Amino acid sequence: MVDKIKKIYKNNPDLIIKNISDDVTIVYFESICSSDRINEFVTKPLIYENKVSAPHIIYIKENEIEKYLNNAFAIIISSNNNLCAAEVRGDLSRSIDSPETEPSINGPKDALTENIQLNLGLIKRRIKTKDLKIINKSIGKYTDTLVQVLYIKKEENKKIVKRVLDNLDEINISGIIDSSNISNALQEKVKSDFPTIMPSERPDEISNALIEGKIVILVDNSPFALITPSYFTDFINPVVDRYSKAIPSNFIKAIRYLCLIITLIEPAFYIATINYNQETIPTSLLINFMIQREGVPFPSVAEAIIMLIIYEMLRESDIRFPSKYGTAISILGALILGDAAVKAGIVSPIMIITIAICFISSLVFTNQDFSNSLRIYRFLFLLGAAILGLYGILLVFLYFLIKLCSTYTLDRSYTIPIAPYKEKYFYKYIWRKREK
Amino acid sequence: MKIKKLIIIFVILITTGCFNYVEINNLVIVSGIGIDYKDNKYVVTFENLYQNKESSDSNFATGITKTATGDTIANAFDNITLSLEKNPYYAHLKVVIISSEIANNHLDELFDFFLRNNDIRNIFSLVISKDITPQEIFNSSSKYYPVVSERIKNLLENNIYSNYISKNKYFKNIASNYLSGEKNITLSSIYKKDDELILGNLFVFDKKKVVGSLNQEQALILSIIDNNKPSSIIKVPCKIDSDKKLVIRIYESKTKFSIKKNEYKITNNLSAEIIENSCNINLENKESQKHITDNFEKEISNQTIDLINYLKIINSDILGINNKYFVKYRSKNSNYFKDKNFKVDTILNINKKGLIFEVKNDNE
Repeated sequence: MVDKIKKIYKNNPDLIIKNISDDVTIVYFESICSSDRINEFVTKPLIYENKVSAPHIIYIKENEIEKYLNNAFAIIISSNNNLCAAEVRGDLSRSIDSPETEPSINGPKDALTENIQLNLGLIKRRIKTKDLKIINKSIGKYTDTLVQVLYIKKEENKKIVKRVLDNLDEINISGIIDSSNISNALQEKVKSDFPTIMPSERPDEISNALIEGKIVILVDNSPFALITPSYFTDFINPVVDRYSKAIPSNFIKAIRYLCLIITLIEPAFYIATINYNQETIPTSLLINFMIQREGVPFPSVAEAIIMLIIYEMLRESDIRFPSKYGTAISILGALILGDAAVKAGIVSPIMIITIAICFISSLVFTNQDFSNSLRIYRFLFLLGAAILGLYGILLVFLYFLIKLCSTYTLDRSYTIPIAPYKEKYFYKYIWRKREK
Repeated sequence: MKIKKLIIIFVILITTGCFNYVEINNLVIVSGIGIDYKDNKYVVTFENLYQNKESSDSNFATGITKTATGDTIANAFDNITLSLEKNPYYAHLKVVIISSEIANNHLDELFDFFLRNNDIRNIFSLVISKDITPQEIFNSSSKYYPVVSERIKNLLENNIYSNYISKNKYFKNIASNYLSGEKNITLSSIYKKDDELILGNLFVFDKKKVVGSLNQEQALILSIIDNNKPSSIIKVPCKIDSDKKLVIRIYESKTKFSIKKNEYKITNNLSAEIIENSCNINLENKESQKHITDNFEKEISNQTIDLINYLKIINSDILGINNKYFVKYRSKNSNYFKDKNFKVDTILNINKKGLIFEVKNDNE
């Protein structure tokens, strides 16, 4: 048997084969198992007491060796080829950190990690009910990743739970490395420009979604859980809003909606007004625009597109580059784009202001997929404005609305709670009522 | 389906009329236009806005004038563009100054041209230049007032509540009255004195030309009757010392016109406050109050009668009395305003007497 295993895993140098005695051999992967646990649970008990005392021991068949070896079990092989697996999982996960992609001033500071059991624990610490159901699934031909579907049993989410489980069963891919693989596979069917599944690393947000009757998908080795169905407004208003009082929170919500409009339309609006509808600009401001654009060789549309692309590059490089070099990028960006480009007469200062405001507004939305959708529409609006002015913006806006209203997430309208109007959800997310 | 999409795109692009892309650097903003008529030719002057390169703050604009002549106004406009390196942009037009010659003899052509022109938005002010050509007015820019049209616009706007000779009505309203004949029109005038641009009398038109002008006091009464000035100041001399005055400000006026076949009546219903009491009248004394009110009512009525009589003499129906008669009786009588008798009744309510009641001597 040992020879057989050796033969199968001949190119796996982390495979350890230890002969404890003439009768017993243990086999395990050093890379995923804890040597302390092997000593404590397997080696010592075998030597001194001739037994194994690990917390999780199971007799297995020959064809299950691969599965248990890869899942951090030590396989104990006796002389008569009886097989036994003991869990000696190495602690490979990092400690619980604070959320990086969804930071907040108020509220809990813990975030999910790559360890699915730890993540489940973080959620279960918050939701203590027998109605919290967890369904395990293994997805991925090579990765065999553990995927857990969590929901609170309610009459209203019965159908969507079934739908999600069916959809997960239909996924047929070679590997699940991150929850985004599942997210993409599930969203392939929804032909939409907007994300319909929201990833979150905040256990409080996940728990809140569960309470609301939504479904959460946890994926092993991924610090992001998936929340579905997610509506348009969910990507704008995070749950952390609930930790502050209603009036300041509503003010912030209004600012966010303003940011949404600015990030989508502002560059297009600038292009439309200065190229088509100059009468809408006050005379003194128009003169300022003219003076600032004096000497810029490119048409304003080209100028806007160049600046938008440069800022996208800057943002991408800022995300990808190690943070230690971040300062260098900031200086480079600020100096080259902010000052030198203006002095060189390549772009006008007003264009830099326009694009900067647009980008500052876009930073309000932390979800990457949502930002990507907004980016596509920003360019569409710009194109509409470049060809048809304010009328073009109106046309693209109508297209935007049509696309938004025709998007469905698990058979529910994406524009809930506005259309169809759901009062409870509306006052929870879009405009909070004062607590009495 | 593809054909449908193509048709929609084609319709959007072709039939919307929005295919007028233009870079702002290819435009020159026309802020003011002057129109004069000399030697059988129209003389048109543009005041264009450019960057003020002489100013320390280069974000300021300065007005640069261009003048051309032509057989028609359109011809003169075309000729002016010969000396412009960029396309003229009229959407920011602030003021059009016309000479007395245009006001008297070529008003029809002026309204016709501006109303037909799609490039010009009809929300500019129309002003008559008095004893000076429009071109000279536009050439009177200085270091402190680099844009003349802006200055005139501000003059009109800032004086609208204090000097009633300022009529800051948009061109479209003036044109509407002129063409419909609902009311005869009035236009503010501007003249130059010691290098200063000053608002002159309010010019009054009959159907086609200037027939007279109203000074400040007449314009003030007109503003009360027209219900369009909430802040009109009226003064009466003191009984004992006529050099001193008692002054009130009318802050609300509701004037009613009652039209009858043989006469019309103007009822001024006014609310006022005392703003100057040089006569030392004891305002707590009810008899004094009644006396003051009577005096002012009489004064306002007299001034109104004087104004209406003057308008009758020059035959200018700027109050639209003839039209009011038509609306009521559905029969046209273009001489109704001029021929019929009228009565004026003034009801004054001085309900804000200020905080100072105590006076040294009760003189009234």
